[in-house]
Amino acid sequence: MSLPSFALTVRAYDVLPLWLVHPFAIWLPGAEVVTGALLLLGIWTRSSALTVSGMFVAFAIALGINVARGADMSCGCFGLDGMAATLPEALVRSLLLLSAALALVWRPDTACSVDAVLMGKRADS
Amino acid sequence: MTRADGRAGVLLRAAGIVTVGLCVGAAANVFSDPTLPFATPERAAVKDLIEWQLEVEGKQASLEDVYGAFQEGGATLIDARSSYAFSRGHIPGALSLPVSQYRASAESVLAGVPKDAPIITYCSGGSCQTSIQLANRLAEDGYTEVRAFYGGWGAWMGAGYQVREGASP
Repeated sequence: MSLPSFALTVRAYDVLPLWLVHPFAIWLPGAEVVTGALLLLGIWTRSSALTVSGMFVAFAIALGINVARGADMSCGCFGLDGMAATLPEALVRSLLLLSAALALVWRPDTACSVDAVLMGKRADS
Repeated sequence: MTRADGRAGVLLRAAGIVTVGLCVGAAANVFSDPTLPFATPERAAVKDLIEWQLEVEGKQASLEDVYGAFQEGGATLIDARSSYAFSRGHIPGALSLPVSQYRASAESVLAGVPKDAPIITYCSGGSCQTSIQLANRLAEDGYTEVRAFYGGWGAWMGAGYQVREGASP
């Protein structure tokens, strides 16, 4: 999916003020790549899990609003073509992933993370 | 280090992650084609929607085309909205194939539709994208005469044409 079509999806959600639509569409993929890489490697785990939690809260709010509106749109998530999940399914998935991210905020210490290697046993806390 | 310092550190690093994410996103945008301007235009152009999603000009169906298909049966109409929206009201004769159900239902819904049959997709109209996504997907799956009715359900209702309620076409 190209950035312009992702921006169209952000616009279709109709939850952000108009001036924020393009900046958000530019920021989000970058932030997802950075936090995803940090989480995979186990660097700054608590901080990246906190960032991801914020994203999933935002996704859940945006999805919830559009489920309530009965909007017919694709979620623009995961498969990106929107053919894999309805909005309510995407909302449930966001909430499940939010709980996983919050679990990491609560307990970021894992044995095989870069944090653990660098700092002895403690993740960034 | 006190607990309060630790919390501030976590928040500070989170803010750093958000900022670095913006830089990465902006850098990726510079190198992507087409790029996305930072300033959001008032409306996304229909031309852009069609070009981005269908990548072919001339695949847009007009209200007249759809009315013609409804009267004379010259094209198969496919409703890309949710089945709930479909049952509340749809263009008479249209098949229901919500985009989100494509993988699960396309085969059974399209069972009687030849690959070269004229097809017109629609969704609610205005800002909905699913008619275009569905048309794009159908084209990928080998349907050669697919168009999207961008005015959608809103334009059909606005014209005061006949509608049908319920789950059947």
